[in-house]
Amino acid sequence: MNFIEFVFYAYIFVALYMTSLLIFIWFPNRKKLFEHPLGKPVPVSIVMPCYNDSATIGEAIDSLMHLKYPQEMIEIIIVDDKSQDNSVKIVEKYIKQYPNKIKLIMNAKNSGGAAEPTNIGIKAAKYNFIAVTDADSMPEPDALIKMIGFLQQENKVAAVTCAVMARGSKTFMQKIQVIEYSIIAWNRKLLDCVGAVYVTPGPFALYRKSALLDVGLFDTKNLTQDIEIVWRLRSKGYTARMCLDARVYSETPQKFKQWWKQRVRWNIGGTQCLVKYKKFIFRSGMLGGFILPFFSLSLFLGLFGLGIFIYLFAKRIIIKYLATKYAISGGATLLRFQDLSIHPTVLNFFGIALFLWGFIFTLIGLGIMNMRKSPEAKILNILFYLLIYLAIYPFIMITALYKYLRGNYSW
Amino acid sequence: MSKHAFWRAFIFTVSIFGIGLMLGFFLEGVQSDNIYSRIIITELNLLDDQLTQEVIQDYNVSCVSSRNSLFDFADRIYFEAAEIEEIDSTGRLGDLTVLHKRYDLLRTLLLKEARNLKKRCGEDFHIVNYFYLYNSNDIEIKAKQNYFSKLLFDLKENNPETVLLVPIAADTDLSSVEILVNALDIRTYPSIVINDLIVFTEIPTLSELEEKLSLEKFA
Repeated sequence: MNFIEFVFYAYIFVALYMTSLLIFIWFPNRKKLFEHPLGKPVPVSIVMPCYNDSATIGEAIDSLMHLKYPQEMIEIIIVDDKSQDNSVKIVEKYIKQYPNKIKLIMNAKNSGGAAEPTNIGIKAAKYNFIAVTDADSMPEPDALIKMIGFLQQENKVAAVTCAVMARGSKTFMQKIQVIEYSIIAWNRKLLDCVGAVYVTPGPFALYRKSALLDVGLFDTKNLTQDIEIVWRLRSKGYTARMCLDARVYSETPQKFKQWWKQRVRWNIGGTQCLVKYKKFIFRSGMLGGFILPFFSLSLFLGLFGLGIFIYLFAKRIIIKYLATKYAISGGATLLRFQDLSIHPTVLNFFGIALFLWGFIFTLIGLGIMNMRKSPEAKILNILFYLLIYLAIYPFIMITALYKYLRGNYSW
Repeated sequence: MSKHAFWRAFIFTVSIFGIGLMLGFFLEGVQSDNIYSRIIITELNLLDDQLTQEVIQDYNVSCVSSRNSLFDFADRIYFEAAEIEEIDSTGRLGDLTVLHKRYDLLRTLLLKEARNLKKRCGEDFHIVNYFYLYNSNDIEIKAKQNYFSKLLFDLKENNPETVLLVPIAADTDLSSVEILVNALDIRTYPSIVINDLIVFTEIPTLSELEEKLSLEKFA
């Protein structure tokens, strides 16, 4: 076994461990995944940062108006980050309709991210429980009432997230994201079972205002302020929970280019978090004991794996190219039957076993999220997700790291 | 408690991985055993062939049958060794270096036999030696070797009755091979040697090789 084969075995081991871990968490908790503490309605401020969201903001406000929650207990604060489209006009129309319920705050200049307008909204909020939502996301009517119990159950809980589901499946990219979001939601709930929720995504999350003020609100310099805030809350002794039974539907990128840009941004934000919280690694608690090592290992394995892949691929291509060039000029046969490998190795068998394991894992996840029969969850789409979509991630990581190191990044 | 999942998953993964590796070693063991059985048969064949040559000499039997048995044997070990090389290149848990060495020894013995036959019978065939590096990681050398093996395969296919192909790895620490390589003054790899005289180290074409063979006229 040479070094590269050893590395491949190490990869297979890590991948097998991570999926096994989730299965071992899932099995004893499988009947409790959708449980949530019974919440008592209390006043909630909903903060919605907005920037050029005219296409979706009306629908997003409507979804808040349809929350199955005492409407007199809801205050909506929309903070416009100097939109150039007619988002403000749309909001003003809703304010006319609901004058005592919706409040619009106009940021003097565009901040270039969601953190600053969110912080403005939080400071202006009347209530201690704050829901933060994106202007392109629509929570299910019962999402808020299902989530609020987590904050009421335990004072240490400062943030609650829900199942973020992909909205729309016009394009192939969106169809794949439907699968991805479902699996992520399931996995996040499994991590919640061991107290390891590491992010409260922007589409819809609930916070305790006093805790947010205590830790200094969202980091305006971080590109994934929804990850950073959870890590900061955890570093100060707070915790975060996840309610799988509550769902929010969020717009997803339709085209590869938009998707790539979004994922690079997420990865730059993740790297920023890793660097900021590096001193906590291997310290006690979930942040240092699991979340940080897990993120670091993912980054390391992704980049190292990509490096090895590129090295092997380039070497093979160069050898094939030269050999073919010689064969053409020398008049030798270009391809013979013997050139096709027909001797599978142990590594091949491990790879196939891992793929099958991943496939079953994905099917279980889709089944649990009730997505198995959705038109997006076709076998071909699942195969594409497992074999191609996930394989693009290391390339995103390297791009993100490059941009991060050059300081060349923005929202 | 769900937190036990961390070490449970670890034990599970180690167990699955351990079982997988054991199964892998077992499967490779079976594969190696098959190759070993074949190599024993091949060694017997070589011994048989050597004795055949002696008998042919002692009893003055026609060189034709001697030549035929030598070609059969050469072809057989050529394909067997090629298969081992293919298996080895796919990445295994175990090491096939010893098998490679045995095949290289067999092919060196074959070369000696072929020379003796040519000397004794003045036979009408060419001995084409191909010296390559088994352990090289150099891209240029690997690409050249890839080409050379295709080229020699074509040469053998075009001239099955007149070309005796003897590929030998030059870097397997076999003293007999080292002496042979020094005697032929081979310093660059891969190299093709025709009848101990003509050496190709650059990129020859098939027609160049065939032309040399026709000019050589079984020297």
